[in-house]
Amino acid sequence: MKVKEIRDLIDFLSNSGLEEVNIETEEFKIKVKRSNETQIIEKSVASMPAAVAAPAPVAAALAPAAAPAAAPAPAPAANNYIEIKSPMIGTFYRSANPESPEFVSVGDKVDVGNPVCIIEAMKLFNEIESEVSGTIVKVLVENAQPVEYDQPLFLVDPS
Amino acid sequence: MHKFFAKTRFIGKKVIFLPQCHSTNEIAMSLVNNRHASEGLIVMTADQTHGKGQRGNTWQSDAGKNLTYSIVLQPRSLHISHQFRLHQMISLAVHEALSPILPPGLKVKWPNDIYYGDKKIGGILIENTLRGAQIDYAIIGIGINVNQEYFTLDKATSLAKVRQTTFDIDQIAEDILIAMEELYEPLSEPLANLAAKYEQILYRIHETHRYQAEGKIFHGQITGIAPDGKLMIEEKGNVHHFDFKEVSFI
Repeated sequence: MKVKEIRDLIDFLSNSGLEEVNIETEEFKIKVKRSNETQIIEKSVASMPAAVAAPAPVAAALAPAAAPAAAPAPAPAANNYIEIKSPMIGTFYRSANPESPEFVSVGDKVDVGNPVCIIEAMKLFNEIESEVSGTIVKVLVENAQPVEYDQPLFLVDPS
Repeated sequence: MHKFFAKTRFIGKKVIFLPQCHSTNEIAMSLVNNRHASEGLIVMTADQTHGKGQRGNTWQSDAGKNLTYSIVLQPRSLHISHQFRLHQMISLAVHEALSPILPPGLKVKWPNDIYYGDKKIGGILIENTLRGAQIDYAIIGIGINVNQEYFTLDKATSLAKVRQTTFDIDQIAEDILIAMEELYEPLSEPLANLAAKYEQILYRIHETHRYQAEGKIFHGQITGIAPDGKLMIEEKGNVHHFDFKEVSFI
């Protein structure tokens, strides 16, 4: 594992508001702890590069993304819109769990690879990623409703 | 109390241990989504405060007493129509690791609970990210009640309650990973074997019990699992296929 990778990982975990993170591989062990003044510490087994022992001070947890203003739905001349379809039979969920915000709403921009919903079947939860870039124009299925294979879930304006 | 896992081949060579966290699956999923995870990564905690059973149901766990971890896998050759094999593989791995340390009675309750007798001793939560019709990453969350002795729920138990002794949580974690590696690699093959083995350890199979579907209670026998993962229950000579939400065990 490269120093930069470790740094990025620690930055990432710090931003998730965790109190303490310990990472261990065959080569090293590292322990990062948040406290009021400093947060850092270290413990390296082999020759852990010193740079890693000083991650940047941890900022507060990431601010939640601002709620998107409900964009006015374009006139329904839907000709150029692309559908995001369900790859499987299951139940459609718009958020990762009931307490989380929805992955996307009308007016949101999505890029290829952004998660847009969950389809669950037999308690296997599948995070569906967008295969197109664009703006969500319409959500075609209500939360917690069953969906069929190939059923359109979202309309995306690629322009 | 934590360590990387020395006896496995590729799972658990990098372990992120969090003394406390909301949900190891949630952390693992955000690592995957931010490209910080690779196959075999483990996120483990001693104190999971908002463990996810399924949507909304939380998993009751006392700090430091139980095994709670998530494993990142990349079963890329696995088509989503075969994803129930993940449940089968993980359930079997857990069963193989735990059955030598328990008296007979360890079963898998379809689709993903681990039972001892009629009580829940563990659970599995699998969350996948998809790329088209293929599974990109699978995040395998496993929770096993190990040394917890008191439960508010009547229908829960632990290894320590069953055996009246405590266990080394890391050792159990490692035993499950070793069993998982053995079963994992042939996952893309059409494994009649895997399905058959899963049925052998299935809770209530070939026994007559009460079930509820469409608001009606009936007596039926579980006959097996369909290739798509649905539960097959025979009632008066007819075999019905049920999705998870369509049937309840009574």
